[in-house]
Amino acid sequence: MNVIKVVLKELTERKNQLLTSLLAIVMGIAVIVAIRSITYYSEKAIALEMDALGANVLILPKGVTVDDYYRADLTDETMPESYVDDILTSGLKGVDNMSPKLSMTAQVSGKETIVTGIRPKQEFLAKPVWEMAGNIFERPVGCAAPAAGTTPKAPDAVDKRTPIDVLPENGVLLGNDLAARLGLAEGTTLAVNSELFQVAGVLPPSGTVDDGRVFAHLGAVQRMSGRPGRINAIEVMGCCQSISEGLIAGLNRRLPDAKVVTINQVVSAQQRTNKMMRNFSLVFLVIILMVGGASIANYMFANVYERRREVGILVALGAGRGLIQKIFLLKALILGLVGGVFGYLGGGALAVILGPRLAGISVSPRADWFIYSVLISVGLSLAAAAVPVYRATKLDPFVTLQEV
Amino acid sequence: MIQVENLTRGFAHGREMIRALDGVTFVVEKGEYVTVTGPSGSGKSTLLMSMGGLLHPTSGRVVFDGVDIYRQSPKALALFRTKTIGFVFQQFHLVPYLTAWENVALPLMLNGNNRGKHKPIAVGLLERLGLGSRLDHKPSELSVGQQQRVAMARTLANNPSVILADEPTGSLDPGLANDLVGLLKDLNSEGKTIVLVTHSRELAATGDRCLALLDGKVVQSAEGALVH
Repeated sequence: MNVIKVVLKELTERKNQLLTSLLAIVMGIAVIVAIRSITYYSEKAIALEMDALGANVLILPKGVTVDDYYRADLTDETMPESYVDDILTSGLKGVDNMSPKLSMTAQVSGKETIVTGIRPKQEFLAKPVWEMAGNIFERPVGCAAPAAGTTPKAPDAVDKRTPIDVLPENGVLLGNDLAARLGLAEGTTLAVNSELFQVAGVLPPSGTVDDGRVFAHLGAVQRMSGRPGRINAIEVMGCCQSISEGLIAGLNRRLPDAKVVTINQVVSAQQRTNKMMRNFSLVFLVIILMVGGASIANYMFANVYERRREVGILVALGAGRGLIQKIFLLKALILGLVGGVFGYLGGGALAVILGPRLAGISVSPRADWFIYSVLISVGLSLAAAAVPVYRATKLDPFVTLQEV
Repeated sequence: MIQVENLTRGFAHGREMIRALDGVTFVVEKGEYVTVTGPSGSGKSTLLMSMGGLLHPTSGRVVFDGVDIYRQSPKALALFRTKTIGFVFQQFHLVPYLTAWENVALPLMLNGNNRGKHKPIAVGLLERLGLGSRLDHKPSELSVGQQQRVAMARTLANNPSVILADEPTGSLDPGLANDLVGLLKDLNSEGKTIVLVTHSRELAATGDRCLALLDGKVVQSAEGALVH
């Protein structure tokens, strides 16, 4: 005989009562796991959507303002293209993509037009709207992990982005308005400052100045403008979390001769959304913890009341308060452990089933939540049992043995 | 030797204080068989529980072999109950979800005995009381007489030197009651001190000495049967 055996015997004595109380704990934990899992993947999915808002950090030459950049994209001031490599080798965390560019004004089919030199692959990553052009513009993911079940689109998935990745040295992409205005289509030829280029593709409408410009290889524009190795902007897609954790300061330290600015609306929208999701998740967690805790406490109060005669017997036989405490806490511990394990399994299953239906996201159970489920369940059970257990130790054996 | 000295125990009932025991004093010698009788509410059970370390007195002392049991730490008092005292209750108070042998093994577990010895000791006691074929039966599967014998086996598990019996025959028919009294006498003849509380004159007369309680006070003490 030992205490564990006594407790297990007592728990299994009334199976219906045990199952009912276990069900309450399992359901509480299952709801916590399901909600947490769904919100976790929702947060990731939303973070991914937020990334789709595009670049959120601009690196400009010292004397250029953001207004200059948006107005015309054109200034005499430039900075070294090597800044891109400096950032890449700096070890700064949170830089998802960099799109360096150099713009110049040129005669295109006899009309003054902005020609922007880009690194096609990186420019593509920075332009979510280009994704709308279908198979040509498949877009890889940024810093946010994809929702479960989705396969990340690898940046080097050449087969899906052939027109961009293999943009020939003499090829150009045309903004939608410009192509319509000049009557140009894919495969036609146009002259830029008397140099001939082939139209590799027409971009989808974006509603920005991009619709009226020509995109060529960065190297070609540097050559035509006589500014080899120079650029006048780097568009950066940074993880919004990293931005708030010092990415900007890191970039400023690394590039003292450049100006690093955040595109505030984008960053604040990202941060606001993430914060809202976190709070949403927290509110649910608190509610469930309170309901689950109340349910366990209720069970333990009832159990202490029902078992008061046994408490009296044990005390009469020589049990001290410590042993009475141990018996009821052990009971709460066992309920918590079993509740945690089955709650995790049930919650995982619920999340997998309900995730796609309720939130339109694919959810897979997270292994690390198994530990949290058990810890929360056990912690909750023990905390909820504290007062009933205290009352059990205060039972007067004289009264309990006389009254029953 | 158990010395009960000026023992008083009050219970609050609203604003009123009811004295269940009121200055009770007597001595029980080692190996003595003392019965305590009196009408309902006279304080018999309160006295027994106080003597067994289950009910702190409002004032007065219970001294066992020179030690005031209520001046000990709670842990020492619990140990005193485990090692020295064996309770016998009218309602038996068996644990319903444990089998006969497990009920008997409970005091052994509390006494910290080697786990491997629990079952052999419990089985030995139950066999001695004629319950060798009911070892794995739960209380609900036993007759009243069998339940009382399981309760007696449990009382004897730690070989206590003092047995405190509270109306032990109250739930038994006359035949079973006689058996139980015979067993108590046997135990007494083996050297165990017995204090038995009863409202039955016949049972009260079985002791070496009888105390009569009325309104929490000892009103009569006599060898053998009381003069009523």
